[in-house]
Amino acid sequence: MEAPFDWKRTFEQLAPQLVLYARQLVDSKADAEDVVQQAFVRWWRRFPEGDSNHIPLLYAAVRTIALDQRRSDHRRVNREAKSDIVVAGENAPAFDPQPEQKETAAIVEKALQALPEDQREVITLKLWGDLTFNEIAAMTGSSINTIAGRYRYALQALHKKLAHLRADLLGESASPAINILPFSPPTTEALP
Amino acid sequence: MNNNLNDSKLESLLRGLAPAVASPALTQRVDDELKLDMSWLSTSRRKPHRSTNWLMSAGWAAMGAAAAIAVMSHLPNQDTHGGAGTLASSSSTTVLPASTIREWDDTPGNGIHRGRSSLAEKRTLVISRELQTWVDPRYSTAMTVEVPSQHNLLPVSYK
Repeated sequence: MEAPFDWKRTFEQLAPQLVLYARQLVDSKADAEDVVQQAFVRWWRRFPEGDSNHIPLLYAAVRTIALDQRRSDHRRVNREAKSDIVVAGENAPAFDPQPEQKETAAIVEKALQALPEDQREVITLKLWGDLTFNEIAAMTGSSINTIAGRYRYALQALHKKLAHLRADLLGESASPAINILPFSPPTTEALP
Repeated sequence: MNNNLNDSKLESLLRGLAPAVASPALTQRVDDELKLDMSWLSTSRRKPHRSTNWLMSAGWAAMGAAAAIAVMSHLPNQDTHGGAGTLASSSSTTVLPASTIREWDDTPGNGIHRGRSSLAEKRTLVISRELQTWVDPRYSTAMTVEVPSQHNLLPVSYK
């Protein structure tokens, strides 16, 4: 039997990925943390043993709460977007890179933001949430083929975005930037 | 094939980036909410049996009382056909007896019998039907019930 507050270990392991995922669905880091707080508390109350088999349900809770919050706060967000108020932590980095990864992290973060939301969601859940296509399909209510397609499109787009952004960052043209990256842009053959 | 390789390299690159850790404030907020939840659970678990027993007893008592009132209000009153008692009970309740109709459906002869005085007595079985109607002036509603009955009658005299 686990200690009463053994949730902290589970939370420390999952919170970074959960916040990263929530940030793909809501506008600010503060909102994302609110979403993660609600989702985790709700999930822990239901599964206090913290079974890893139930982690997809935690991501599903994050998704549900984030979408609800986004709908309910739509008017407020619009109002704040028109004002000059800067929310604390709004532009906090999504990644916590090693010193040698800082440049790459900045590029990846920008590239992720440039993706369509449905592709961004699948990439985040697959790469950082470690969910399978089946689990992502179940929680989003889409078919597994749709999810696999979004993932493949997202990877292809990231190839392009990363090369372009990296070239911008270094003040170079796109073509030499491709050589800097450890990969090259994919061809259309990769599409399903 | 080459593209798959590139994809796997890209995936490795992306996976190598660790998401930013959650802020300590978030952990503290979750901690506070779970502690609040746990304290609520512990107080509710402290006296489950006592509260359950009390509620169960009160519930059964209430259900019994409600059933008794319902049965008493629907039973045909023997004194509803005139008399001071009827008037008194009518004035104390809001449901008033409006009318009573008794009909004899059948009166088959039940044979000749010898009574205690050794005289011949003819007994008659009377099968009747009684219709009683109550009116509730509060809601202007009326309820009519049918009460079937069988009685052995001993006629006192024949003409």
